[in-house]
Amino acid sequence: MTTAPPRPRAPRIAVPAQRRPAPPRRRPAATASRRLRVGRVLLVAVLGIATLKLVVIQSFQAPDLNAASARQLLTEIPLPAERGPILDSAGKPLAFSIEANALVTNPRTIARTHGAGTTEYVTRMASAIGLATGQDPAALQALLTADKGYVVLAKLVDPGVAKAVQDQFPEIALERRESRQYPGGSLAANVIGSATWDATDTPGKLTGRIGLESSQDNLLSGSNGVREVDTAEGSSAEIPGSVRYERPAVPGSTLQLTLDSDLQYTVQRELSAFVAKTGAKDNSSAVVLDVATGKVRALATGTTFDPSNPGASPANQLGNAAVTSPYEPGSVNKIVTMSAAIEYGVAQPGDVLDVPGSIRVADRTINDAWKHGLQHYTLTGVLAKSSNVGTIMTAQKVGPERFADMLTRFGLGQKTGVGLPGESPGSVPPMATWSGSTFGNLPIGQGLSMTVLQMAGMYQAVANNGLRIPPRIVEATVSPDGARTVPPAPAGVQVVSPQTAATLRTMLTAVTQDEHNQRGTGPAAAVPGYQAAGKTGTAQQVNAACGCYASSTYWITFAGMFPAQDPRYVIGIMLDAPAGGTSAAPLFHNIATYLAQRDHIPLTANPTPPQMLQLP
Amino acid sequence: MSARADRTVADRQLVGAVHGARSAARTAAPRSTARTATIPAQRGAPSIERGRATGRAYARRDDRLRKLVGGRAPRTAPTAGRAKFVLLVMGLLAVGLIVTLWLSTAAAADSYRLQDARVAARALSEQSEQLRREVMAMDAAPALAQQAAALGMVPVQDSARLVVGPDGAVTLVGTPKAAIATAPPALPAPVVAPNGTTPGASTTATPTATPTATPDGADPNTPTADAAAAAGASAPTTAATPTPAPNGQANRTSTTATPRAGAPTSAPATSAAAASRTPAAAANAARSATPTPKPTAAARTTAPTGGTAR
Repeated sequence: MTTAPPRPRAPRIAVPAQRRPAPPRRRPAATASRRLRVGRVLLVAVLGIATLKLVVIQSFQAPDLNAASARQLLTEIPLPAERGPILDSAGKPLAFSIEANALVTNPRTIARTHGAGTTEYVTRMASAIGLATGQDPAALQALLTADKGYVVLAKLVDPGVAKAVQDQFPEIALERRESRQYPGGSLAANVIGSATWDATDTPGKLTGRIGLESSQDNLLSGSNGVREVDTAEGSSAEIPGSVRYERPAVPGSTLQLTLDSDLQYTVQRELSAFVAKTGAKDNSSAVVLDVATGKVRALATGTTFDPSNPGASPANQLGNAAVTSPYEPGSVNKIVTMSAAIEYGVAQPGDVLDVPGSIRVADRTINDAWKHGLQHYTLTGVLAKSSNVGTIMTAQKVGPERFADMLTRFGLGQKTGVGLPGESPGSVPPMATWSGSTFGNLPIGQGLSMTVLQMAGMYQAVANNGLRIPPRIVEATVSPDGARTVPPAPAGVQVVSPQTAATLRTMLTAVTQDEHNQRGTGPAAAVPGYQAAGKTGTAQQVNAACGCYASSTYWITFAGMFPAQDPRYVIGIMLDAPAGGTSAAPLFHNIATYLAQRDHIPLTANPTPPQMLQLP
Repeated sequence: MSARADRTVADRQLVGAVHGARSAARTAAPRSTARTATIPAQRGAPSIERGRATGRAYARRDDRLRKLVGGRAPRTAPTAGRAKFVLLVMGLLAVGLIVTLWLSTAAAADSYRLQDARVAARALSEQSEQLRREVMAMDAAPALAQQAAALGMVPVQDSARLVVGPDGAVTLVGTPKAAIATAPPALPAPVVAPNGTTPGASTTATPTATPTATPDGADPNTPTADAAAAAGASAPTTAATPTPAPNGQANRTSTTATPRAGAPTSAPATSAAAASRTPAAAANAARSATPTPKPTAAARTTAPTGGTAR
């Protein structure tokens, strides 16, 4: 206490008596000191009350008040993660996302605020929104006059358009959406699938529903972020420096496929035209594989859907029949017998077989597709003319064990692991369950089933010098930070030796040869200037009514490689129940011709001379 | 006491001295408290008005103090310094307050500017997204095919090829056939923008290659009506030919055209590849070329999605 002593005392001590008069001042001084005392008491009382209040606020009410203040200020701003695009092999987008807005409003509020003028206002609103979004104004008006607290007027509107509408009608609120764009329309829709907005979570997000969009949803969708920040009440302006927590959004990764947009378009167009022409079913499919790598360059189904509006298509068109629906391949499967025969030295292409018109296996009699007496076919002729009897004769020489082993080596009965959802492994009866006649069915491609991808895989092995590389459709994934991950190449399976594969390719060119008396089954597949190798197939479908093979509905197949000498592409085609007499060879021809033009494939310089199929 | 024990010896002496001074002051001015020792200046200032003896007593006390404490300056000096210091602190506080206010105002203003900038950036990104979307939609294979068909282009199916041997002899491979304009593929669904409108130019497909659909190439001498009639009557090959040539010649022009015709440089490349692959087979060393006498016709029949187009 170094302050000066109270002033009233100072004059009493220091000033002598003769100093200025005290008496008149004494009285006010006494009153003042009493006032002061009262004042002090009052102040202390007020201080006490304040302290009490402070204690109450700081200790008892603190949690509630803190929470209330946080409610008032703290805003959680969701940071949406953009869904990753799907690209083709050249980097062209097949699917990508853009921002969009949904227009929502509360019809009850509109009715309350506009009173008698509601009808006129709503009509104006409906026509303006209809004009902006291309929707039917009458339907919009019905929505706007409904007695509801929340209606969605338009689902995916350009943000700019949405803003303009909102400026015009402040009752309309905008909700953030992400619109999935499929620039190619139905191009490769069977592979890509579809993603639509899922509003069940808040905030909603694009969610894959079908195809790769669905099976690769985790990769594509990324994860939303959040920012906790204080904002001025009633405004979205952030108070600077008030960010309490921020977790940035992680955009989805990019999925790059091995598909080639142009080729996919052509294959899809050709197939759907062919399907329309022949009356085949929707799940007819076609695939083009790259020979050296087993990459899927095109994968089409008979009909497909518009991925931006999958609801408009029937459910059976939304799938990907090329991997989900197996079929009995028919004569295409004869390559297995031929591979085994040549690989194990059982027969040579030039060997002549005495082929009768039919052959008896256990309790069944198997005929050739055309009536004939005893004929002398070369092994090449058996393949090129697709003789069932000759094939079964050869298969019997190979033996069931080696035949079954060859089926496994060709990848039948196993999933290819192509990377598409819902893949079927097909079915090959295990050897233990074979009945006596089974070995009469399997060599000619009945009694077992495969997908078009597996069928193409078999021919890929022949084209790639016996090395079968399981097909793949995912080229790479690119994470948001730009790191490119290429999935490891699948391990190849050496099905037959390179020499056997070369021999088989030469034999397969005989299928497309068109010589007098030495005509294969698929000359329509030939491409002028080139040599094509392939195999036609026709398999009877099972009649569900009798559980037997139907005599009028077939799976028509073709699998081949192009060009035959140095194959670059393998094409597999399956037509489901087309009109009678249809061959898939012309479709192979169309696709191969396109490939030849597009890739500038050199003309075949020294074609294999015509081969002897049958002795005169 | 423990605190005091920590001090240095000099400190202890000084403290002792002060204590001594205090006791001395007490004896000299019994009424004054210990306070007087610490603030002598306040008492010293009004000493003029005091009596002479009092003044002397104060002077003596000051002398004693000076002797005891040692060489201290008179206490009147710090008064001015303290006032300056107080002013300085007040000034600093005022400046600090102003700076704080200014900073927070600036930050608030910046936050609004940031908000505006974000809105602007958002609008621009939306615009770029929309443009990107339009480009992608028009760049997609089905859209290109549609546009090409609208321009009257016809995809070539079985093109014939001319193979030039090493001796310069030209062999025709394949049979030249007319490229028939089929109805545009039903496959591509219209690319729908999120607002339900078709972006970009409306690409309504024109199924037949009528001369009216082909831009620039149409010969001004050709009566449009005639050509259209011809196109409707016979093959689109006639329609694809801009000049009113006889049908036979028109056929020739159009049939031999392949997508490669548009890019002549690609043919030698192919030939080189062919030659290198088969060096021995001289006769067949293929050189594929395309007999396209009229580039305009060739361009017209280029396959819409052909590799050479890109």
